[in-house]
Amino acid sequence: MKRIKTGIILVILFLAGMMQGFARNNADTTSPAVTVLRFACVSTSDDSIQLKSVVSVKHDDGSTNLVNAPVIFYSVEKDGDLKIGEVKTDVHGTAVLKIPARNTFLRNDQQMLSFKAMYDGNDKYEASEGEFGLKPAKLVVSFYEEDSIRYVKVEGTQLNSDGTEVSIGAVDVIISVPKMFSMLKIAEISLDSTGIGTAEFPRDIIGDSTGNLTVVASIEENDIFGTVQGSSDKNWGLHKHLISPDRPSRELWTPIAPLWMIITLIVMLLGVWGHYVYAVVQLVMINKSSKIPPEESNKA
Amino acid sequence: MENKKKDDNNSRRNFLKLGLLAGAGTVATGALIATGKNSGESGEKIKVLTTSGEVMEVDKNFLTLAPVGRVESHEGIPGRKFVMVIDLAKCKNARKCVEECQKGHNLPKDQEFMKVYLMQDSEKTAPYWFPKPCYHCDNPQCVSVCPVGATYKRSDGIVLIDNERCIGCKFCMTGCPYSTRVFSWKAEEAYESDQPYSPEKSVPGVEGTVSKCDFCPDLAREGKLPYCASACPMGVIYFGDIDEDVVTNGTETFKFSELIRDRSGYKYLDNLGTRPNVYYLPPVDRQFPFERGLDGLDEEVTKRFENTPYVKNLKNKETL
Amino acid sequence: MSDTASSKILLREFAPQIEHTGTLGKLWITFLVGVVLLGFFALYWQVSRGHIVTGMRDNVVWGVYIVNFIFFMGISYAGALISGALHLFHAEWRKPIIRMAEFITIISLLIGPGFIMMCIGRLDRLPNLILFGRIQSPITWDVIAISTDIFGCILFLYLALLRDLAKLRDFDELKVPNWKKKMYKILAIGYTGTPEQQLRLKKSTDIMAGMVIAIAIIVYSVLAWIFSVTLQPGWHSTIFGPYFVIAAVYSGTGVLIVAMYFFRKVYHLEEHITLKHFVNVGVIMLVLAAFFGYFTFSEYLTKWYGSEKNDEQLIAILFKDYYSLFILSNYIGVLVPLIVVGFKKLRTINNITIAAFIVIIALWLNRYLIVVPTLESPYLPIQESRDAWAHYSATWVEWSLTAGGVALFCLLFTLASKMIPIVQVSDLKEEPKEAGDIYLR
Repeated sequence: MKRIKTGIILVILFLAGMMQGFARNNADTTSPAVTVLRFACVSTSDDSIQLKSVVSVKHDDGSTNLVNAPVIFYSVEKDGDLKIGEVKTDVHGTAVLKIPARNTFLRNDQQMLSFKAMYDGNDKYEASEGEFGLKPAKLVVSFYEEDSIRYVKVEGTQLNSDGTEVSIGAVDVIISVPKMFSMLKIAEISLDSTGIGTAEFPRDIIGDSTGNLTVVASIEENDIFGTVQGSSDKNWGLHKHLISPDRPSRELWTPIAPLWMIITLIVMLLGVWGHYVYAVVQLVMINKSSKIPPEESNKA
Repeated sequence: MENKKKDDNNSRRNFLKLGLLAGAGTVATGALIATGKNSGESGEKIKVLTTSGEVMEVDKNFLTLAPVGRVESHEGIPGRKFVMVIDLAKCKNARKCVEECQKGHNLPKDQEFMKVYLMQDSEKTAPYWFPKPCYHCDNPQCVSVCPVGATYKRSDGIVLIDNERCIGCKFCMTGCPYSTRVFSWKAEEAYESDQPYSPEKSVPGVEGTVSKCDFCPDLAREGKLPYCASACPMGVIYFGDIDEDVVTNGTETFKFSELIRDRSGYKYLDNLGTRPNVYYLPPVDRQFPFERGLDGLDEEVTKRFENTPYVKNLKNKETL
Repeated sequence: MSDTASSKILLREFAPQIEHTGTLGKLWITFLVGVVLLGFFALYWQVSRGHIVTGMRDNVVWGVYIVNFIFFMGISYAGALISGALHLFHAEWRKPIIRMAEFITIISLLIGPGFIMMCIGRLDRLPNLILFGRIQSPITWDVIAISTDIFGCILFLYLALLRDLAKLRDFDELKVPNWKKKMYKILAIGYTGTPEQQLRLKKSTDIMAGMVIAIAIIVYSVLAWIFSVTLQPGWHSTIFGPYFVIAAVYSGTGVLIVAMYFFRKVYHLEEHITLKHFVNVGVIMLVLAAFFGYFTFSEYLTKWYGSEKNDEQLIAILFKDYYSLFILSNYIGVLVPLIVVGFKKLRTINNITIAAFIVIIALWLNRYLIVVPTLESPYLPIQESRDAWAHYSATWVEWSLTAGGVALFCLLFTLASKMIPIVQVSDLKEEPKEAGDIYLR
């Protein structure tokens, strides 16, 4: 009872302390907090460009992502910025806008598109922005087998403003396979002048339980193309061995005990308690025998 | 300087990776689409920071965090089997793994799920820093001896503790040959959570029960590395799914089998038959001199190593 | 008819101890109640403040509670093995002391498990042991084995009591409150000693004597397995089962001799409990001392020679930090009974009792040296800035509870002797008395 009471008091104190902390926090922030907006564009193989920004607030011990912050995306053009759209950040502080690669935004002299993401800020947080320029491009991943060696073929094209596609050459491409926590790099190749590059695909990469895997080709942080990603699925992986089905069920550490342990226990318990029951039955018989001839029990 | 650069690089990678995962599979229709999560509300709320500088409650479904209850947390993440590789050549006792783990699991200051030992196998052999999480053994002695099944091994290899079932007999603590488990000797400040308890959630232990390193299954469900692995500035700790044969420390990704083969990976005290799921890479070709690990430690931490033969020797030399 | 007459004489002799308690006895009981209350206060302190008030920490997770648990479970063997074995071998001299041995068994069996509860962090979750019990855990075996043992021992004691209860019921001169008379009547379940009843009683007593021995061995082995199934250097030993069983009976005989000494003095049983009894139990103790010494020796000798890194570390701690305790428990505790009982000239009641007392202390220390130093020498070195977390020393809470446990044992023993004669009245007449047997001072 007492412990419950102290518990309640502790909780109340804790909550009160928390509120006070927040109140003080509000009062102290006379000057708006510094925000950081990270902005990048990714060209994907489905002919679209992802505009992606992450807004975070800096403080002494790291940074926290800002939620519900309106981020406005612009296309930066010769005669001023053209607003594309506004997206509010999610719980991870991320706002993503996807636009088609074939679009009508004006390009600059180098034939590059330029985008800007802006967070206007308010009286609590400073405004921040980021800019990113790129030439839309595409990587197409395909597969072929020759002399029983497996190859991954990557074809890179860039999209001109008139809608034509031209191959891109002399660009480094990383081929990788997405795994649970990260991307496993398979090869690093360079596209030739025709925009094509190939790499041998190893035989010992593990796919899903039926051997399927995704192969991703990517140009990373290129000056002209930014980040370009293309991917394709193939069943070239080794079958992933799932432990769950053949997981041992009767071990010392499993919920159910090994069979012979249970049998031994039952045998021992039956043996011992059987004898107990015998002894108790004898006692009951003694009691009974005393009741049948009443004169006998009086005698002693 | 060096760390910071790496840090930036790291976050940028993750950032891009996230983009890929989010973008995969959707076809642009030509219209301007704002991708946001608009799934139905779950009713469960989580606190986040809003633009007005206040704490806001957000519906839990807006988070990618899968709601894992007590029952599901007994099963394990389907089709996974986790493994950790610790590169002793890179560890310089920065203790970031310990601190981030404590922060992430809301632990009191004197409880460490991850411990860093000063090891020296014998008098003349080289000392090295030895981070030690729970080994999540495949033949877990702690689980075998638990009388109530409060600690259990899941299909994904993780050994967890159900703090609401544990009776606190401490048998598992004597059963574990690696001194991994800690006991909550006193009642800490009550930990408040608006979510129901689950052994998977990173909540501190209840008074009178046992707790330990849990390989952060709640983070794994989100595709994130454990706190220790992502916190280490040296990239000492690799984590991954052994069935995928891939481990990563956030910046580098290796095939597990190749890493173990090329660097002669081993398991600590494997001869005990516990079959640990944590591998060590021996401290050869070190990136830092060992002594660096003794610099800049808290007094409390320095004191821990006072009785080790190495530090005693060092002191003797100084006095001579 | 001489039957009834002789037991009447005996009953007259033993009646006073049941009928009233002297001033000294009252003082003694008050003192014991006081110590028990201190124990309860310590328990309250621990429950309200958590296990932080004990000396146990993350390295040494088990302390004197477990030591007390093993100790009390150990002395419970006095009754089980001694009375069981002596019954089966028809050793006539056992009769005056058998009741004491059985009392020791039951009382320590009730106190022992209490100590393991104090070691448990969440007493409120004890039902989990049954709700979610896993058969693979030695603790589950222990729960099953101890409850089986308690039931068996109570049954065995009851079988032995039955004839005395019947005699007390029929003894009209007894001046006790009515509730006691009623209790005798109910418990005697109408036993009158007809040939048929005698036969049934003998059969079940024989069976239970055997069972009690078997269960005693199992229970104590299970207790030893709690330690030896782990990988700890000092515990992971195949001889732990038999070692613990021998140690248990050894400590049991020690307690029995000390109990014999005190009851002989207090209840003036000089006529029934003689030097012969002390020497006979002493000889059993001597044999057990030899066995115990042998097991201890082989246990540590192999560790010392084999000298695995962690065994070496343990041996070093034992011979450095725990040197005097180790010598006291494993040398003095073995040699004293060997010498005292071994040499005829030294065999006096006082000497044997002192030797028995040393045995009790030594055996308690023996368990302490098994539990604590092992936990202080784990595989991974203890790197700890807080000294209290690296080395164990029991706090006042643990000592108070220990004292409370011992006091409760004495208290229950005293109270039990106030209920039923401490000597088996119905059997005494069978023993032919020789003049030389009566040894006065």
